[in-house]
Amino acid sequence: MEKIQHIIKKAVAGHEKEQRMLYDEYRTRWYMLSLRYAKNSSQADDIFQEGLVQIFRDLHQFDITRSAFTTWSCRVLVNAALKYLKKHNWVNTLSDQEESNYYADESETIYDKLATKELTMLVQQLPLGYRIVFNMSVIEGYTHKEIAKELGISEGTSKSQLSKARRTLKKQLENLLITNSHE
Amino acid sequence: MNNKMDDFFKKRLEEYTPAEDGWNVPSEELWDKAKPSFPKREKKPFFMWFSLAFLLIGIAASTWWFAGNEQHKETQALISNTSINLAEQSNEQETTKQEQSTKQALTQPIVSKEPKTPARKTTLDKTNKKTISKPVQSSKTKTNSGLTTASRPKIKSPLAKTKAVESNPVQTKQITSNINQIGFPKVSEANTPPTSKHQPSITSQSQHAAIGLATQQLFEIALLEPAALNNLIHNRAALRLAQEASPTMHVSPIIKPFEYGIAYSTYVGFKPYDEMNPTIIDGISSINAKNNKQYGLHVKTNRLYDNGLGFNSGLMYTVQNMDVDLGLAFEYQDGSSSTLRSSSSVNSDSLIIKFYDDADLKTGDLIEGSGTIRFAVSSVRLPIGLNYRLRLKQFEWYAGVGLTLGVQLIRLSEPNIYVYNQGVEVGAFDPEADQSFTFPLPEFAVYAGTGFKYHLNNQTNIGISLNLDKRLVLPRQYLRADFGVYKRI
Repeated sequence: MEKIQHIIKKAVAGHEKEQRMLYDEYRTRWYMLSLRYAKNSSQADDIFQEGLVQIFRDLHQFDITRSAFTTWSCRVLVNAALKYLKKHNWVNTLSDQEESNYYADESETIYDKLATKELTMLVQQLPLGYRIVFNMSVIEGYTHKEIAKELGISEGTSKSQLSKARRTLKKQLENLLITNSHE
Repeated sequence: MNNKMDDFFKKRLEEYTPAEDGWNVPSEELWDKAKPSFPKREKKPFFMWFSLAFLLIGIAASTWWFAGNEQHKETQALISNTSINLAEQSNEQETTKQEQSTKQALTQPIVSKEPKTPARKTTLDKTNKKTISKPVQSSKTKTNSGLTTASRPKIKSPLAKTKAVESNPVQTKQITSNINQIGFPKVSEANTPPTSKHQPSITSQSQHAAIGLATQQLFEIALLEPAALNNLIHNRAALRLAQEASPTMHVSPIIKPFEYGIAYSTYVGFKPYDEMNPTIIDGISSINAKNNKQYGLHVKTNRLYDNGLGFNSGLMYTVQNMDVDLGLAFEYQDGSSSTLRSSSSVNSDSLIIKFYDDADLKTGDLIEGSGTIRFAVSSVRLPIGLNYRLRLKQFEWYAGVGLTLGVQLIRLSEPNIYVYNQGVEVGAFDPEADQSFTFPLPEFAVYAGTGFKYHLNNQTNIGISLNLDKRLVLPRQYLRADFGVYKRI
C-alpha cells in the first residue's frame, strides 16, 4: 500500500517513470473495462484514451484513505466511458430497448467452456443501455440508485435494463454454445 | 439464478491477465497519445534564478570589461585588422634605393637622410627601432615632385598629375608607426597638432599606424539579430532600432516541445534595417557608418526534443552596403605617397594616398584626413549549435552554445578621402589608380548566450538575450544584447 502510495505521489508530481509504472500495472484492467463498455475495439480505444487522461489528470484527487486505487481509477474510467457514450447519443436508446427473447440453460458446465474474451464480446454485443447497466451493476458493483443517478434514469428503468441484459446474455450464451458444439 | 450468472460474468470478466494474443492489452499508441496530457514535472525555479543571475553577472562583467579595457583591446584588434602603411609608392629604382637605405639603417644608426628635415631626427637603434626626436624647427620644404597646388583640380580629382609624381621619384624610406604610441585624434581634433605624447615610436620597417578602420566591427554590428539595444551597454554604438519582417514557414508546428516528440521548425526571413550613423570607434579615430543597409536571407532550423534540448542550424546570406566616414591622422614621412592598407592575413590590398607635389611638407608633419569609403559586403554563414529551453507557463528560459562558419566577401570602393596639413589640402586618394578591391574574409566564431522569452500567446513573444561571441579568425570578442518582439506567422 505504501508502495502504490509512493508511486502515485511521484506520478502526480509528474515523474514519467512512476506514471508509466502505474500504467503498466493497471492498463489491462482499464482496457478490459473499456472493452466492456464499448461496442468494438475502436470505440474501446477511444474510451480508454479519454479515461487514461482523466485518471492522470485527477490523480491528485485520489485519497487512499477513502478507497482503493483500483476502485477509484475504475470509477473514473467508467465516468469517462459514460461521458464518451453520452457524447455519441446513447441516452435515447436507454429507455426503449427491445427485449430479447432468448433464454438459456445456465448450467455451469456450459459456461465454463467460454473464455473471457468471448464473454467480453458477448457483453459488447448487448444493446447499449443493457450493456451499460449490466457493467455498472454486475461488474462495477453500482447500486440501481447510483446507476439511476449517473445515467439520469429511474431506478425502475435501471432494474428493467439489467433484467433484459441478463436475459439477452443468456440467449446469446446459448446460441454461442450451440454454434460451438456444431463446430 | 441471476446471482449465479452475475457471479460467473464478474469472475470471468475480471481476469486481468494479459492475453497472449494481446486482445485485452491497449496498444502503445494509446499511451503515447495520452501522455502529453499527464501532469508535468515542475522544474525547479532554481534554473530561472540561476539564468537571471548569469545574465546580470554577464552584463556587469562585460560592462566592466568593455569600459575598463575598451581602448586597449579595441586598439589591439584594430591593429590586427587595418593599418596605414606610410610607404612611398615608387618604381623599381626607388625600391632598390629603399633596400639600400634599409641595409644602411640596419648597420648603423642614422639620421634621416633628408636634408630638409632638420627639425626631427630619426634614428634606428640596434633593435631596428626608430625614434623621432621632437622638431626644433618648423620650416617647411617642398618635395621635389613637380606637382603644385595651384595646378591641381579642387574637387574630386586632385591627383590628376599622378604621372608627374611618378616621373619625379623620390627617395624611399619606410617608417613604421604603432598606433599604441601614436594615437589618433578624432576628426574634430584634426587640426590640433600632436602633442608630445603622440610622438611615434618607430618600431620596424613595416609600418603600422592603425586608423581604426574596424571593418569587421562594423559588419558584426550590422549583422546583429533584430534588436533594439545593441551595444548600448558599452556605449560604442548609438541606440539602433531594427525591425525584422520574417514571413515564417513552419515545416511542422512546434507543439508543446517539452511534452511530446520532436518538433521541427524553420523560417525564411527577409531582414532589412537601417542604421543611422552610429559611432563605431570612439577615442581612437573617427569612423562613422552611415547609409548602412543590409538585406538577408536567413533559414533557421531548430529541432526541439522533449527533454528541452534543441539542435539548431542555419544558413545566413546577407548583402550589405555601407558608407563609412573616416578620420585618420599620421605623421608625414618624407615621401610623396602613402598606402592605406588592410593588413589582415587574407588581404594585402591597398588604398594609396598621393601627396601633391607642391605640398609643403616635411617629415613629422601631422597629416590628417577625412572622407568616405563604401563597403559592399556579401556574407554566407553557417551557424550550428545546441540549446536548452525551459518553459514555465508563459516564461521561457533558454541558453545555447555553438559555432559559426562563414565567409565574407568585402569590396571596398569609392574612396573619397583627402588629407590635410594645418588645414591645407596636401593630398588625396589616387583617383586614377584602381582603388577598388575585393577580398574574402573567412569567419570562424564561437558563441554562448542566454535569454528569456515571455510568450504572449502561441504566436508572439517578447525576448531578451545576451550573447558573447568570440571570433577566432580575426580574434575579438563582443557582447550582444538583443531585445525584440517576435511573432510567428
